[in-house]
Amino acid sequence: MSERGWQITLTLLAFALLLALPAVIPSFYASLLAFTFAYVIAAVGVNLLTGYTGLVTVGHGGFFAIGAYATALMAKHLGTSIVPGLLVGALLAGAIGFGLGMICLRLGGAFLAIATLGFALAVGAILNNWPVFEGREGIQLGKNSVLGLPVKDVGFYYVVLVVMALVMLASWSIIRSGVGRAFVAMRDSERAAEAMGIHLRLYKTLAFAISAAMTGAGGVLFAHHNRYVSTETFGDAWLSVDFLTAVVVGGQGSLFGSALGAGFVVMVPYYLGELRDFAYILNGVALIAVLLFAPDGVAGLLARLFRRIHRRGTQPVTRIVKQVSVGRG
Amino acid sequence: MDLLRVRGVRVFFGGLTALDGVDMKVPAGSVYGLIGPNGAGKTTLFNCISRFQAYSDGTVEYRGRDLGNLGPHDVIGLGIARTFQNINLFRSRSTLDNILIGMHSRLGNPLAAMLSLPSGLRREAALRQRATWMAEMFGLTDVLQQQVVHLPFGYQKRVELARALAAEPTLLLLDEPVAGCNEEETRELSGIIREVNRELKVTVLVVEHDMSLVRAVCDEVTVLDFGRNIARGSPQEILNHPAVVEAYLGETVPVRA
Amino acid sequence: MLAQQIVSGLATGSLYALTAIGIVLIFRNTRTINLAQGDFSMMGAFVALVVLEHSRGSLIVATVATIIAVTALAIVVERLIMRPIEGADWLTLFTATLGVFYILHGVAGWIWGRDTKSFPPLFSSAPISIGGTLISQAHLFNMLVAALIGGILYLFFRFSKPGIAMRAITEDPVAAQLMGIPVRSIVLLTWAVGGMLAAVSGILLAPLVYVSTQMMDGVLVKGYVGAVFGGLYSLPGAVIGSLIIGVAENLAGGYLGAQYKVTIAFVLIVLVLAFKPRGLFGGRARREI
Repeated sequence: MSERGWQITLTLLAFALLLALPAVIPSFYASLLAFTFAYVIAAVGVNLLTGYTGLVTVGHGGFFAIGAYATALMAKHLGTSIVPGLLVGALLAGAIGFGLGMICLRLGGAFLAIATLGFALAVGAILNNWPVFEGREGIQLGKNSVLGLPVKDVGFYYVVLVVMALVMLASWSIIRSGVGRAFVAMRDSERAAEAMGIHLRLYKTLAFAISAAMTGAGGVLFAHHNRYVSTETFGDAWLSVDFLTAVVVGGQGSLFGSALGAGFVVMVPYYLGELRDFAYILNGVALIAVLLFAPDGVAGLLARLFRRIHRRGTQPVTRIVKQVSVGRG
Repeated sequence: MDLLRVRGVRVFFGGLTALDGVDMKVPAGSVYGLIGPNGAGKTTLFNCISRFQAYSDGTVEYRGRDLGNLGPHDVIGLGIARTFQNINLFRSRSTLDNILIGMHSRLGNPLAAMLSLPSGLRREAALRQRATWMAEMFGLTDVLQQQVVHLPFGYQKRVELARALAAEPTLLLLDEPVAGCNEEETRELSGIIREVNRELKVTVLVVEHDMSLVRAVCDEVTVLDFGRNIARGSPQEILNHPAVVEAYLGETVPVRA
Repeated sequence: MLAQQIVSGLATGSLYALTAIGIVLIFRNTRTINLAQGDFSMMGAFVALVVLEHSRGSLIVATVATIIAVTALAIVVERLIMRPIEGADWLTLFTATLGVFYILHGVAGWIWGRDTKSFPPLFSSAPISIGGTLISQAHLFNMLVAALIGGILYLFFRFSKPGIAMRAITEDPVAAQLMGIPVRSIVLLTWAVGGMLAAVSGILLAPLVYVSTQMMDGVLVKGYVGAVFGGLYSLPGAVIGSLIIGVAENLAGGYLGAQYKVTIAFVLIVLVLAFKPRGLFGGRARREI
């Protein structure tokens, strides 16, 4: 079977597995997985911007928060639940993402990273200091429902699974299209991209908007999972940094990588629980190990292993980490 | 008919005058050369035409249309494509992807593309078909899926060219196409350029240092020095032109017999 | 009144200045955005605390020990982590320092716990009056140290031969190496000096922000904002940027309300970068990062 064939088969298998899972595992695992899926959705958003378009963001925690608080406030004041929350949260995050993209148009590399960090912290500061957001007290959300039907643990798991699948499908569709090619082109060479007719401003802001909307959607589901939001979680840059970690460790430019990375970022603190310090250390070590030994992330590592098993002759399309000089032969 | 008309273009970089009222007329269907010693302003003029550089005076007209208000991403839509000095490929992408990106202006509705709507998928299939055909034309079929950064230099040059021609331009701007090439590669590229001009009916504007290429492919040449026109004519004429010889004196010009 | 607000703001800003200087120094010579700069200071503060306990409160011993320890830490980081990935793109370098950030947070929390500890004050709490405004001795000392170090480094880079050689590294490390400039040694030296600066900053800040694993998180971010004002390149720019942030924070807090105090720094940075992508003072053409 071709590599593409394997990719599709394995994806469908994984999906089938996830569908069947709640039947065999205790419901609190389903709940944990649902929580992880929300992170995966967020990581997929970050990956679109950072892994593919090459615009590094250390600020997507801000969009996560926007999604979460949008739905929380709507739930509190309007009594809405998941579906309107998703629509409004994703759209709002996307719109603000578009704005941030416009502001950061001329920024490259490190400056962009710092600006996005500034954005996330500004969002955190606003959440902390404007009373409507209830700061550290937080906002409670009512019971979850989809189109009027109440959903509990297992039901919620399926809801998040579906949204995650849709987001990943959308991301995959975008990457494979000419728009996705335009994103990557901008990463590799803005000048050449422009010469090909790629309108930098349009595509950069588009990348920002889509990426922000996706991460915002993740935030919405996060809020509904906990049925509670507070600035304890959203007030600082840790979330943003977590997402970046997920993308780098999992593998930039890889959907599967985003899933793995998100899983890593969720599971490590969860299983280390009280030993938060070790979670930090593990995070840091994993990051550095990936950078030193597997720049394509865990997904890249697995892909290379897979290829070696299959002994394919074609070159993988991998991310260039070290500077490569383009010379003869 | 003149496909491209440059009149009185001026460019200043702070206190430095890069272009001082330059004129140039490129007839449709020709292979036109733009040469001059280092610092003459060829690249600046080139960038003015491809709209990577703003100019403070004069006009650049393509098919009678003023390009002044356009950005670098607009010109491909009008039919002007360019290559880059020392090539500027999308390194992490395959040969096929590079050519496909070259056709970005033919993408159609981005939304249909992103959402994989039927119209988007149809367009994508058509683009791929054309890209594959272009690759074949340039002998790149074997390396279609290869990441371009792994390709030998000569192949990369061809990918750059295929990519530029992918969107069926009417004017092809080549920025020092044989920089870094040896004699054989230069000869090969000369042949390719002439074929592109003849078979694909593409007008070519070449900025070049290498006289052997200029002599081999160009119908007419404009010579710049210090941001000004100093000569114009056939390659034979300008190579013996006293002003041109003087401008190049003291420079190691790789003129091959 | 306004003058007092401004002076207090300058005092706050001077807290960030040393960190900003460290950030700019490392970035100039190594193209690395060092996210761990603050945590170097944090480790330094903890070390100082421990040494103080064991040396019966001798500040000199504590200071020397801290500087040595943190400089050593910085050198270890450079050797073990940054050296193997030298020449990689900036994101890799940046993410590596993020890894260090995580590790230091974890290690500090593990060794010393996550609660906040107090640090003996270095100066008396009697404020000094300058032209009708009050400023604490500690803050004044901070400002002087930041100005002094910033000034020395600026002169060093501007006029001394090794300093000028280092500027070549920022422009083009490969060319610099080809010209015989010992880039690797300079990179090592840069991290060491960065560590020293962090150590000093940690000790100066410890009595003011108290010692905890998170003590430098806020300072680090503000230090970055200040550094960015200087285009991540200009040392005076970084100092001035830090002072501007401090003043802006104070004024915003005083005139607009406490909730704006925290927000202003971040809003400022986004806006400054929007209009001046190379920072207020960083107009130099540089390698693309």
